[in-house]
Amino acid sequence: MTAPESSRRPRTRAQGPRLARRAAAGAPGLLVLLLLLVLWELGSRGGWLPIRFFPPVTAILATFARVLADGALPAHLGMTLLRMAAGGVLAGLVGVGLGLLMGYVQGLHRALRPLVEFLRPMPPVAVLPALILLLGIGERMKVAVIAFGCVWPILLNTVDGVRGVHPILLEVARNFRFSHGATLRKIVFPAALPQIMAGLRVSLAIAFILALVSEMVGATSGLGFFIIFAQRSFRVGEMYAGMVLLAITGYALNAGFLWVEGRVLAWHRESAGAVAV
Amino acid sequence: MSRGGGLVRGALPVALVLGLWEAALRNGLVGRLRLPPPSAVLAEWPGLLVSGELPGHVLTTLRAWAEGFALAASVGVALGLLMAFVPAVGAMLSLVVEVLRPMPSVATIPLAIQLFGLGDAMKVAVIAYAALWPVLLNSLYGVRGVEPRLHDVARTFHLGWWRTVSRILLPAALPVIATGLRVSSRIALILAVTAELVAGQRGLGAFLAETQLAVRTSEMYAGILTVAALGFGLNALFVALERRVLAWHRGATAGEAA
Amino acid sequence: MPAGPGRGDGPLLEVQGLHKVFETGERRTEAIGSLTFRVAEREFLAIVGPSGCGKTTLLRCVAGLSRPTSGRVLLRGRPVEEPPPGLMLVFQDYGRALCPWRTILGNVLLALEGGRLPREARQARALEALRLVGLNGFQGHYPWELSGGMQQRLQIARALAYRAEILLMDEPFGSLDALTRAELEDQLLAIRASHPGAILFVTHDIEEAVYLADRVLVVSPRPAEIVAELPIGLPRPRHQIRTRTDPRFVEYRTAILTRIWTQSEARHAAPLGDGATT
Repeated sequence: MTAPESSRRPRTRAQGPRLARRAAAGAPGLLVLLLLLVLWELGSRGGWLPIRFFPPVTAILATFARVLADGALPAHLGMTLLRMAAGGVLAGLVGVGLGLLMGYVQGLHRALRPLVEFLRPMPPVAVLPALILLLGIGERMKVAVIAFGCVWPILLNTVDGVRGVHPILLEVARNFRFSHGATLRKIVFPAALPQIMAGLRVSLAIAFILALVSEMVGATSGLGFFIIFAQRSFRVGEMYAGMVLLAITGYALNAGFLWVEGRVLAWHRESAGAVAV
Repeated sequence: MSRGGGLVRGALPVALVLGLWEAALRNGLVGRLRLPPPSAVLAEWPGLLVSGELPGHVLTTLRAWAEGFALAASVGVALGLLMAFVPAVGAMLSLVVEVLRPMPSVATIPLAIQLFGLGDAMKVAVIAYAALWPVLLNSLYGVRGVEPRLHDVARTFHLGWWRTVSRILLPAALPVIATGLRVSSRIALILAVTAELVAGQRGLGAFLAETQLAVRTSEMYAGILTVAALGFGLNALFVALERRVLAWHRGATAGEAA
Repeated sequence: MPAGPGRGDGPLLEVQGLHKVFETGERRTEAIGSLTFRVAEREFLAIVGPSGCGKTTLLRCVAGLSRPTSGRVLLRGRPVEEPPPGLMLVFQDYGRALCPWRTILGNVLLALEGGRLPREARQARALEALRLVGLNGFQGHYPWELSGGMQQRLQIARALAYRAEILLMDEPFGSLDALTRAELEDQLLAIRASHPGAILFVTHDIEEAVYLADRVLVVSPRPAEIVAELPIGLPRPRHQIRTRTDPRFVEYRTAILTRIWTQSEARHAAPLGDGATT
């Protein structure tokens, strides 16, 4: 398949108006954002906004640069990400593994689904105190609560993905006399992957939130600890700096995941769009 | 298979797990202190619900929930609709929304403590902020996502702005907005408990923190069950409301899926 | 499909008294009344009947994907209960039967991954199969990049790589436009010329059946039963114009269509209660 001629044309002036249009569309938003920041800055420096609630924007940015440079903030970020990874991997292994089996073996699904439906609605935040009692306030507790929160979307999406595999594909596998293991590996898992990725995407957000909450409740490191400790020590600038980093991290995590998903599921997006003639 | 039979069969694994848990504890296999037997928890739960501290905490949480949710719902729907109907406003606020969205709402807890102290105002602020997003975004996208053909229908009938909005766009967007409200109510409850857990003095979250520290395990588990039950009840309430108000929607989408 | 002499004695496939009833809740559907027929080595047998007459059910029973209610299927004398080796089903819905996450080559390789060939041999066989269907050069592409006809050819390539002794084809060209259909019909015949093997071909298109087959079975609507059998004496190689304008072609077609009409009239006229369903 060769690309059509038009897509190989170098960027000419015809592209100019399109870029300009996009910039114009984003301009009001940018202006409003800058306006709000300027008002904050002026209000804070001028005394209308109490500094202990709203330090000047420039001061926050300076603090942000400082804690970033001296390594304190990155270290906390690293801890948070590490805990998320540990909990996420645990939830992923259990969720995908069990989900594949539950989706594939009807009997297992019938047996376990009520248990799942009983545990799933438990808000992980509410389970947190129980986990503290059982596991203390160390790393295990944090990883456990993250895993507990993440496993449900992964498990349920995997089950749905498996059950959504088209019966014809399964018959093709039977025709080829594949063992159940081979069928799961070669057919069921790849076919369910789009749905599994959707579950992983949801669990990413949950992992982030639960990491923060568990760090606020019982920790000495991590971004959640950083911001709550900053508040308690009345270092408001650092608290805001932490929040800024959290927003950036949230964005980066999401963008990163979408990128990975795009690569892994390149075949899916295309085939979903294409129509068999 | 009759529904009754299915229900019994479904309850079996849960009963099995609980039974094993109970047996392990009775035989001293697991420390009784930290993981009380289900029988103890279930026995104490109803009692705690009607007397003692629990009801008070439940009411505290529910009140904060209600205030925060009401605030979030009204602001969210209003702002979302405004952004959808007045594109200029939508364009102006879009970047602010995009910048704030990636930040988890729990990160506002320390800020709320700084601004409002440790009382109820802090909780309501956190709840309202967190619950705002689903409502806002669903209202915005709900209206924006209305089938373009309906816009054309409105134009051919010369309906004018107000009638287009009230008779066509809003009803069409209502299912999406309703979903946003339901999600938002769940988030509101979770943030209520979270805020109380981290920094509260009263409410279910605070009760959980207290009982955990004092190792009053049966009460703690009763509290956990109460939170779960509350979430379940609120969800059921919203689903029932949706069903009544949006009965037409289910019929229409069922037809589409066929 | 292996070239070389057949085993000689006994048919390749035997269907004896195949009978299939579906019971869902309170409804009882007799998909297949009673079917008995044989397929010889390298024979192209077409089964013609209106849609919904149980032809797909038949193929699934033959393939071992469904258990008949009674009767049996024998492949080389051995009863079929699970999908046997050497048999391959080609589905009408090619989109669903292919793996969208695998390349064209990867899809064909799927047929070889159950076996024990070393990797180079598998690659070679897969590429050979693609060449046979005219898809060489597309190895690295994905199914969604191919047209419908090409995707169906891919399915056939996969079956060829599997070296099935008998191909079961379930209205394989039914989802394609007429021109593509003609193209694929000829491609199928061309492949057979160099790689003879048995084909059991199910279709509702009478002309397609007559054009392709050595023998045609006409099957009635539910419950499916054989109502006619016609050996097709048209010379090979077949040609889209010459064969289809041959007076004998027209005779065969007329005979089959007439048979189907009379069968359907008889069904409609039959009093209720004798088990016949329309």
